[in-house]
Amino acid sequence: MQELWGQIADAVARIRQVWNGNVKAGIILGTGLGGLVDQMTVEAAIEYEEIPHFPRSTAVSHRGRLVLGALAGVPVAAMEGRFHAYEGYPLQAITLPVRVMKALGAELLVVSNASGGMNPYYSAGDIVVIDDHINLMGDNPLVGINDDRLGPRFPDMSQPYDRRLTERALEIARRGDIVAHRGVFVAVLGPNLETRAEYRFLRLIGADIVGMSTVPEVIVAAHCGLRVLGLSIVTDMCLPDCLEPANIARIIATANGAEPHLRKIVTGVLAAEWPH
Amino acid sequence: MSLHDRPPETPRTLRSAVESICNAWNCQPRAAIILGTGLGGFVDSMQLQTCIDYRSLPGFPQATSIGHRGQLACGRLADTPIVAFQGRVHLYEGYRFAEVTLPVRIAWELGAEMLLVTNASGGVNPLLSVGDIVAISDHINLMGRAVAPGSTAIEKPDQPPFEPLCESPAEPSFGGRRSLGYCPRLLRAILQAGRAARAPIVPGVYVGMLGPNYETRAEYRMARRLGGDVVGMSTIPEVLEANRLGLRVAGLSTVTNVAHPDRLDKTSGAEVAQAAADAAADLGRTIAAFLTNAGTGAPQ
Repeated sequence: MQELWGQIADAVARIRQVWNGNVKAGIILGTGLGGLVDQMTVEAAIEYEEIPHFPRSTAVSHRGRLVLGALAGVPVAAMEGRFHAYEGYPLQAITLPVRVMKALGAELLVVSNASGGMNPYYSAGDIVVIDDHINLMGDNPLVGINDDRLGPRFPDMSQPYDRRLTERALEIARRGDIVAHRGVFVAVLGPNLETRAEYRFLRLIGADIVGMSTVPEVIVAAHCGLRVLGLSIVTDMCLPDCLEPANIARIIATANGAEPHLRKIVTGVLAAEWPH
Repeated sequence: MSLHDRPPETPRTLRSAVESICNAWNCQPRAAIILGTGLGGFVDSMQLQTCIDYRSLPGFPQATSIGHRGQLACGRLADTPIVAFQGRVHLYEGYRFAEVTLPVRIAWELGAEMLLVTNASGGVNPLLSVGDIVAISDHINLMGRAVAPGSTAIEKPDQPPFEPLCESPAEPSFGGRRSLGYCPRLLRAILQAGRAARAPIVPGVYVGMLGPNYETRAEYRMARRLGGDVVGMSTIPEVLEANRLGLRVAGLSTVTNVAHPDRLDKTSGAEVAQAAADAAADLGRTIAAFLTNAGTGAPQ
């Protein structure tokens, strides 16, 4: 982790060439959720390949650029497209953007993703406000000699998702008649979807939804002291005893369909955190 | 030098590390002890004969985390010759499996019959208290890295790669890949020794996580539901390597915090190291009693 300090500085310097604002919140947009950017007052955008040390996004339905501007009147940096461990990138590279957002001034990180629902009370299209997570990716972005300037060696994880932001998101959902649950997210490496036996296993260990992202970014956010709001769209139900083959097109369509709900929650939380 | 540029271990680096130790301390240890977080103070209870700085051992990985010194203490405890690795390295520091397990190969080359691994852990069994000692009866490997890709470390050579400098241990009763992990006889002896030393000792299952972050509430609940009693970030690589080589293993874990996922407090590295240091006296008496029994052939 010794090289991170310099990498962050390089990336920030490049971004500062196109935009000089001060970010309050960072947003990571997952599968099918890129549309949130339409709601932003975009001041600048920069392709990932132009930012030093950033990997490139290769996943379906992910663009690859950092959008800078305002959302609900709050200055934000939004990642349109994220990186996944299953693309072959090391977790330290995947999570570099989180550290860059922190360096740009962010105090808060909103992470979003598409997930498979294992809790039988959920339905496709529901929103889950992530309350906690289980890391089963078999790796950790903090492996290496710790750089104490970036965060502690052993970050506490008793509450990686900020309680106040979680409550606020659920409250906004209730007011907007949006189905939203509080749930536990489990991250697996992927890229294959889970077997029925794996779904049973993940349910047994206490998870409500499963995905292949988000946990590395949240661990790094906890390491560098960002408050985190995690939002997930349940894009298909993964009930092992009546499992259908996954249909990626339908998954992305469900994510796109639920995206206005997610948008409402994110803008509502930002507006409540920084009222005008 | 960054961690990524380190040369891989060769039979030669292992041999030269063993040679340096034999030059400084010409004795065959009966037991090797790996001291975990905050337990370095155990060395004070030994009759020290010599201390070898890890930096003077060729190819030896250097500890980077808190609560870990970096030296090999050689001497006697309860009249038994032992070596104690004061400080260990971990997978979360970025070290390879082969590097984390080097002390085990050194212990084997020195002729030790058994390996005692110690660590500090978080209790997930609500019946545990801070300061309890768990005699590890078994483990669950959730570290995601049993063997580094490309490593040949798991292939046990039929013969050591060279003539051992010290006499090698007799053919072990347990060993090989389907071994019992933690020797049941040693486990019984350790529990007995702990009780004799008036230490709060119980048997339990150790869950190894990669770390370095502490676990989330959901992860603690998972560890409990899977059958774990304590959770930590070490020990499993060393135990796997000891099994491969046929060293008998006993594991002792000091409980430095107890996770109650439904009212979880924050965990800090400094608190864990302090709690481990507080429990070091109990641990030291337990190990001394265990070696005394082993040395005099008392019933186990």
